[in-house]
Amino acid sequence: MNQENYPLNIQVAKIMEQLGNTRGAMLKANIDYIKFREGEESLVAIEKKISELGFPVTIRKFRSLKWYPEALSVLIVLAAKEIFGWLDKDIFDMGNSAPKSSLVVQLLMRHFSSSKQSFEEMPRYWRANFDFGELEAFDFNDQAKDFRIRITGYKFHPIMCMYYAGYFLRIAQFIIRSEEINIEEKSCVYDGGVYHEYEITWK
Amino acid sequence: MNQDKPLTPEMQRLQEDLEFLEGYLNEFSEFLPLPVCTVNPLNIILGVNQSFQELTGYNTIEIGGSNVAELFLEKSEVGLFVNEALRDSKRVVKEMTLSTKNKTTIPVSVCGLSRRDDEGNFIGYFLAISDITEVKKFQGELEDRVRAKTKDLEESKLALVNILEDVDEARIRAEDEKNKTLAVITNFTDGLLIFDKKGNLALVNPKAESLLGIEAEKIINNPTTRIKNMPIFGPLAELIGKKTKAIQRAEIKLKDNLVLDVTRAPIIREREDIGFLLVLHDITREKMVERMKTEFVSLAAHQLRTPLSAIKWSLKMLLDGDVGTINQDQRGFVEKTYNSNERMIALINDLLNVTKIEEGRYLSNLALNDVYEVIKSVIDSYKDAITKKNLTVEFNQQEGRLPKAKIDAEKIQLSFQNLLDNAIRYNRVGGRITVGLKLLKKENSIEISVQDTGMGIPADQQARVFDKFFRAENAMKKDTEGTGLGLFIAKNIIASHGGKIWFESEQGKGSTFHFTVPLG
Repeated sequence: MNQENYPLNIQVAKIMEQLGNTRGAMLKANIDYIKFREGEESLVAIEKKISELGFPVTIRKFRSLKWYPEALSVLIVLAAKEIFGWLDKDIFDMGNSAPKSSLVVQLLMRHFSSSKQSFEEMPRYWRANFDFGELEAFDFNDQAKDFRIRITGYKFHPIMCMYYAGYFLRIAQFIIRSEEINIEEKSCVYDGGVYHEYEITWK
Repeated sequence: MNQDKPLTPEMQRLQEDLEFLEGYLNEFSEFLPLPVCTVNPLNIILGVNQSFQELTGYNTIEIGGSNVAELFLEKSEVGLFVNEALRDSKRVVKEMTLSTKNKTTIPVSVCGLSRRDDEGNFIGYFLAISDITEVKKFQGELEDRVRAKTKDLEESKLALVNILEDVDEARIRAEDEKNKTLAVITNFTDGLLIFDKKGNLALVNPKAESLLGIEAEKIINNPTTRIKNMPIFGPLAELIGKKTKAIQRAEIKLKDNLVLDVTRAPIIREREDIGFLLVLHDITREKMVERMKTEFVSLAAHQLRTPLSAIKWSLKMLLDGDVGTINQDQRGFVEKTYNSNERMIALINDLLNVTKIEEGRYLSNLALNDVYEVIKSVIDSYKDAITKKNLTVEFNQQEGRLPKAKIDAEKIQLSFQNLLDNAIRYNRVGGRITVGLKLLKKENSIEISVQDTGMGIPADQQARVFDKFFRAENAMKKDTEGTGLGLFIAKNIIASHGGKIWFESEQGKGSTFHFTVPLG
């Protein structure tokens, strides 16, 4: 049975088994998006839901540069999906929106002087945001207009594949000058892969 | 509930510093009243502060990741702004138009500050956006005012140009008129001397130069006081020096062979006296002709009167039977001849009187005389004629005896006789004649009047009644015997005495003639 098909409380138990922290910036970005989509009051519902799941939190106390369990970030995404009935597209948009309000991303953008250089700096993005796993960027081809990123050591929940597709697409949108940029997950740990691999193409 | 990892004290301190820095940045971002956004070299918006969100209406999620050019109406200029300005210089400012989320447009001043990494590579820029609506509004109002003022000035300029054109046209017209006037003055057949308001001689035309034998340029601008003392102007001095607004005329003999009819007239413009002019009309030839005519008439009259007197006495002798009896038919012829001769003598006498008047040698016997007696003697002498025409004569004399007047009795008699003769001659049969005599104490003179009930004088001919040889049309139709000299003579006699003569007349009802003689 697919992980996504279990009840949320059972999924939570499985998620919480996973170790690894992320910057508060990631959580705050998600919270900002929920607030943007569903309004200020929606945050109370999120707090309540997460508390019901056994992890009481105070959203307003999140700090961008502080470390929090990645599992909490995943819980916020799942809570939003359940409470507001979001679809995969909404989760993708949530991930796509996250870098916009991420202080960490803005700080890292300081290393941008060209698309290629920014591409090369992408592993640093991962390390700046997560204290586990690894991101590898490779095959940057300015002529073919594509590159790939590979994430190893990340297996919290399948929904996050959609989330990070949106997230890395935004990073690509920040560093590639193109009106049309696409992302596709070529390999996934939930489909038997040993890593997540995304291909970014543009026109 | 974060999964805290064990941190070294140094890491812990750094963590706290970062958190503090984040809090500071957030507070600063929220406090900063200037809308600011962070943009990467691809012109992608990475972040915005609170003021930016308030100004544009976009929050971070909505605007983050967008091309900054989308914020402005001048999209193409943003690229230039970044490429040409920000990449080369650190800070640039440009005015643009911000397009907000709700589609309103706001004039803004955009200040760009380029960002560079440690190696000097361009890594993006900050944009600070200032709402300059009020500035623009003020600027717009100022420009409107300047435009309005400019328009006013242009209209004023246009109006001024039009006025100047009108003035120029008027000047040209005035110049033209002046030239025409000067041409008229220059070619005028009479001499003209024009004096300005201050009494300086302003203009002398060529004819005046010729008549006076002067050169205009030598005497122009001289005051009347000096002009009067110049020998050539001697005879004109009195006229030039007069202080009067009335038109004055004088006949002036300037030299032996030069007689001028000089008119002094004020020059009035819009009720303002701006000087006067002297018109010098050469009447030398007229005077010579007149004198020759007078001499001829005098000579002819004298030469005619002697034989006419002889004829008169011869006819008288025939009528009185001194040379024998004549029958009735013969008497009739002789009487007609006698009467015609009498008229001829009267005409000759009138002509001689006129001649004397024109020669200025008419009055000779001024003495104190009783005017009543003078008048009465004339009335008495016309008894037969009055009776013959069945006229009633009323002689109204003021009560009390009138003082005597210093007059030439014979001439006053002749004047009154001419008036009475007309009153009889042109009266209707059975009409009335009223003779009045009264003292005018105020004027120290005696007024004599003769009123008749005759044909009267047509109104359109009354102005010429005292002219020499003038006879009214209705009088000529009724009586062909008048000479037209009687009233002319009377007028001159009265004028010579310093008196006045006038009349009232209505055609078909009669006339009243008055004259006065000073008591002396």
